Amino acid sequence: MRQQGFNPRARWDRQIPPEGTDHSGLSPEKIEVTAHFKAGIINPQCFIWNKKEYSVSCVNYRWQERRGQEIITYFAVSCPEGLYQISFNNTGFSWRLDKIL
Amino acid sequence: MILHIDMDAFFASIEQAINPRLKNKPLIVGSRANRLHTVVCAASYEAKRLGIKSGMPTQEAFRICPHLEFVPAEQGKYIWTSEQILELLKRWELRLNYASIDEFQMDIENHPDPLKLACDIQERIKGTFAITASIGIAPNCILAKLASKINKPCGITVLTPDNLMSYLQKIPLNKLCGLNGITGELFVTKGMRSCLDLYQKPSYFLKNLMGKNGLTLYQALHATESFANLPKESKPKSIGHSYTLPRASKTPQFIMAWIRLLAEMVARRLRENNLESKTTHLWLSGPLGSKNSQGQMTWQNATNDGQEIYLRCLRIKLKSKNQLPMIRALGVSCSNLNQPQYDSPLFLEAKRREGLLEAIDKINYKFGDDTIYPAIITLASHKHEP
Repeated sequence: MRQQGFNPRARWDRQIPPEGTDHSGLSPEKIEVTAHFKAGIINPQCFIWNKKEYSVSCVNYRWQERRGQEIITYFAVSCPEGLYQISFNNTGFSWRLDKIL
Repeated sequence: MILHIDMDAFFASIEQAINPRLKNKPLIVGSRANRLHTVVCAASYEAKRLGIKSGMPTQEAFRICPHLEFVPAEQGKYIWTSEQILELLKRWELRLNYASIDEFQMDIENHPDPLKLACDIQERIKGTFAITASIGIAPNCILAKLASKINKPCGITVLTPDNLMSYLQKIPLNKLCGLNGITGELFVTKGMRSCLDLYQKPSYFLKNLMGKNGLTLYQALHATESFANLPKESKPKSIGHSYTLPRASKTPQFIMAWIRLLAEMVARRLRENNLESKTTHLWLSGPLGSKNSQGQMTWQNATNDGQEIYLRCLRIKLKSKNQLPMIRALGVSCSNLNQPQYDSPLFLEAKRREGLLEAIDKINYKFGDDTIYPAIITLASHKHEP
C-alpha cells in the first residue's frame, strides 16, 4: 500500500473546521527546536514558541508523510504545559508547531 | 498454517497513542472533520462496549454517548504505521501477505513454535507502536482471520484439528468473512446458524446454493494454505476512486469538479502503473433512500489522460436514464486495462498532450501531488459548494 497523496480527503476536508469542538484555532507556525539526530532517529528535546521554551518530556508517537520529494516527520509530544504536534521538514530543515492536541 | 494479525481498533488505538488523554475513553475517529456530518470509521473498545460501531453515522454515536471523544481521520499516519508494521514483520523472514491496512498474514508452515512467534509479534508491535494486535492461527486464511477475532483485543487463538469444531460451533455464521450480509442471510434461511453448520456442509450443497462462489467458499474453508503456491501479482483488473460528499449537492459545477478530481486520481494511478484503459465506469448515488445511477462505456482508444476520462464520464452521465437531482456520493473507475500499444502517438496534438502529462507528473512527483492540477478541481473545495 502506498500513500495516495492526491487524495480528496487529504486535500479538502482538512480545511473544514470541526463543528462544536474545542479547536485550538492554531495555524501552523515555524518554531525553533533543539533535537538529537541519532542513527536516523530524530528526538526533539525542547522548542521555543511565542518566546517561551517548552521542554519535551515524552514523544508519544511519530509518523511520516511524503510531499513530493519532501519527507515530513510528525511528532506528538508531551510537555508539562500540554500535548503538541510538531513536524520536521527534511528538505527545508525546518520545524513547525502544527497543533495543540 | 497461516498466522493472521488483526490490529485492534487500529485508527482509534493510534489516536490514543498519539494523545494519552484519550486513553481508556470512548473515542470515535470520524471519516472527516465535521463531527456531525460524517460516519464512524473506527471506534475504541470503550466506545464499542457502548454499542458504537464502524459505519454508524456520528450523530447516532453522539446520541448513544454525548461525551464521546471525536478525532477526524488522518490517513497519512495510519498508512505510515501500517507500512512500518509490515517492515517489522519482514524481520521474521517468513512469507507475508499485506491483507489490508490493519491486517497481515504470515505463512508459518513448518514453524517450530507458532504460539511463541505470535507472542513475540504482539510484544514487538506493542513495544514499537504502543498499540495492540490480535492473532489467529489456523490451517488457512479464512479460518485464521476468524480466529484472530475470537479473543479481541490483544488475544491469540490457535485453531487445531482438536479444537476447531468446538470453536466453530460457538461462533455465529455472520462472523465469518464475507457472510455478514445477504449471503449470510441466505445461509440462515437454509438452517445454518453457526460456522460449524457451514463447515460441515458438503461442496455440492454450497455449489447448488451459490454456484461457483459456493465451491470457492468450500475450498477456502477446507484448504491447508501456503503462500508458496500463490500466483505472482498480475496487473490490476480495474482502478477506481470514490468519494462521499459531506452532504447531498445539486450544484452541477461542484459535482463536475468532483468527477474531474476522481478522474485525475484514476488517471495518475494508470500512468504510474504504465496502463491505459478502454472502459470507463461512473456511478452516482443520491441521498439516503434514493436510487443510484451508474453506467459504463467502452471506447476504441485506450487512455490514461484524466481529461479524457472526465469527458468520457460526462458522456456516460449524459446518457444515463436515471438523472439524479441530488448527488451524495460518486465514483469513477477504469477497466479493460492494458499497457500502451504504441511507443509514441501518431498525431501532433496527442504528442503535445502526452508531453504535457509527462511534465505535470514530473512536477507533482518532485513537489507533491497537488502542486499542479486542472483548475476546475478547485471547485471541488467545499468552500465553493452553495
